[in-house]
Amino acid sequence: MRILQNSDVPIYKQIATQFKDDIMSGAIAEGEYLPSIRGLAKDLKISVITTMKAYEQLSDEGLIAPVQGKGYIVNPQDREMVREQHLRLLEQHLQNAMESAKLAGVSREELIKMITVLYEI
Amino acid sequence: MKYFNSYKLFYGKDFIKQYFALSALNMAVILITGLLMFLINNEGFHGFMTGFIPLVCGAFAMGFGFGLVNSVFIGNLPANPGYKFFHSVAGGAEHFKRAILFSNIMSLFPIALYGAVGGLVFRHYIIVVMTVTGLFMMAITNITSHMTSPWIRIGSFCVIGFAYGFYAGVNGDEEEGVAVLPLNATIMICAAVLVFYIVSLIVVTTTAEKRWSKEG
Amino acid sequence: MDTILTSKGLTKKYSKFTLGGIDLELPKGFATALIGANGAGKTTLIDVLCGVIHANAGEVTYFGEYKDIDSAALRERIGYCAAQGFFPAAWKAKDIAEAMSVVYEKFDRERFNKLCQELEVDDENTKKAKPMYKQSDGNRMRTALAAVFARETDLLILDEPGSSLDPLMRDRLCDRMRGYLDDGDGEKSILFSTHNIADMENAADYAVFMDKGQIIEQGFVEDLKEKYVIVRGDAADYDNARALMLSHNVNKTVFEGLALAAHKNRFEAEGAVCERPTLQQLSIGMLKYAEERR
Repeated sequence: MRILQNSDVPIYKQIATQFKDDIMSGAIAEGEYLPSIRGLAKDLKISVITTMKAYEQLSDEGLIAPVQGKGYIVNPQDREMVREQHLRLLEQHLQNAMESAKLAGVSREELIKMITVLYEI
Repeated sequence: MKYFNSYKLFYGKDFIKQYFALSALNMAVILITGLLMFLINNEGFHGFMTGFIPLVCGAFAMGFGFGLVNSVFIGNLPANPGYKFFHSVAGGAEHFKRAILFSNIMSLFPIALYGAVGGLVFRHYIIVVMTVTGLFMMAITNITSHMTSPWIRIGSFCVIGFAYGFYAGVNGDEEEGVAVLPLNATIMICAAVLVFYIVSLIVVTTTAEKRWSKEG
Repeated sequence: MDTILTSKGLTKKYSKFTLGGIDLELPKGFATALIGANGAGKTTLIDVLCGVIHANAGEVTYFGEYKDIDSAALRERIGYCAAQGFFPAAWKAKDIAEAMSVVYEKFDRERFNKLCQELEVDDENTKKAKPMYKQSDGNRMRTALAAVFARETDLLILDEPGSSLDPLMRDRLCDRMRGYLDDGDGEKSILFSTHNIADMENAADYAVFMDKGQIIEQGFVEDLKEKYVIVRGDAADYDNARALMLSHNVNKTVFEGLALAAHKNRFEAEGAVCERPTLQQLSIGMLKYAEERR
């Protein structure tokens, strides 16, 4: 986790964003527990209420849920939503590929051929 | 043990060590001089020792007594470091009371010992006077606690010294510079001081808790 | 919100100063900072809460069950440390350890010695250990902190713990405080006072602002940071903005001050800029506001 203490973005938002990315990318799987609020505050050298606020935000967005006495658990993510996320990511990468292709003078047919070859490996 | 712990709370760790070291030192001085006087047959030396030793013993008897008692009372002065610690512990008032009693008892031993040595061995009344003064001062410390007692102690010491000198002057007894009181007068004074001392103990045990929670 | 300590109408009267009535609610599982200028009454409040001095009126409830600070069971659960002169001047580390073991069942001597070593002060085994009066304010505070952290407690009440420490030590103290909260996992809480919050900003979850013996604002730091904003603008726009500002700082070039976040849009319409305050900025704004209001 990377936290900027003097950033314009409040620390709790930085924490929430990074957990959100990790959950969406699957780096933190569903059913896993997030670090304890006070443990994370200790490690990040920030106040407890700041991590708590980050977790509350994630909880409000439905990404995690509090479990009595055990901390916060990662919710099962909506499959459709996750697929959408991945599609968006795919589109973005293809966009990048096309841009590079144009710069390198690779034609549309050649690009498709490259993808087919790579896909079959 | 409870009493000992309470005293330890106010005095810190080295109490027993210091107590016995000081007592042992005093006793050693007295014993060695006694032995020397027995061995060395010299008039001048005898004269010096019989004057010097009682003074030393007397001063110790006096100092030892209220020194121990005092170290408890200073824990109850808001201006002193340690006040906040003592007043934030459980049963502070109880500890205070027990520590006062313990310090009184502990200082009675050396005082009694010096009194005995003075009266029996050296047959010098100045020790008796000084030990009685020591007892009197402990009583004063008990009753007034630390705040006002230095003045009263100094005052009382002056009065006693003056009265003693005055008595000596009236009787024209200037032998060795110290007067010898008649026996029954000595006993009466001792008894009076003893009663006063016991009263002070009663006063201090009944008022300790109130004094503890009184601020500044 | 679970509370660890609540007070109602707590009052302490002196000839020239009156504390209270203090209505306090300290959240359980968090660190609360008591912020105020010198003479605001922070130490008096802490001393009353710890039973060093006695209130004239009002009541305090500790851990939701105790009302009497003289209860031995309650004292055992509170770890208190005064700003200065906590231990007698002649005491050395071993005297402190001895006295602490007499009065506290859960005082761990080994932990005390280990903490002393970590904080780089004399411990019980130090040869030629120095008495308190021969040590600097900082070392005295370190020793006192080692003594209080060597106990098993549920609530720490520390009076100006950071003031006499150097920046590095203060950082370590903050780490230790967060570690204490982590160990308790929501069951242990801290109350500490400070007149300079900047160095302990990241150790405070809940803030209580005091002025002239009164509480002027209290709340969770993150909530307060959203409730208030710092407004800055050109001196020419000051007259339009001043009525809505709580604290006022102006020179011939710019103005600056604390304001309610609810008025943010109106400030921005006037051409001023608003930013989310740090706890330090919030504290200065709050104390200045209190000073202007007197």
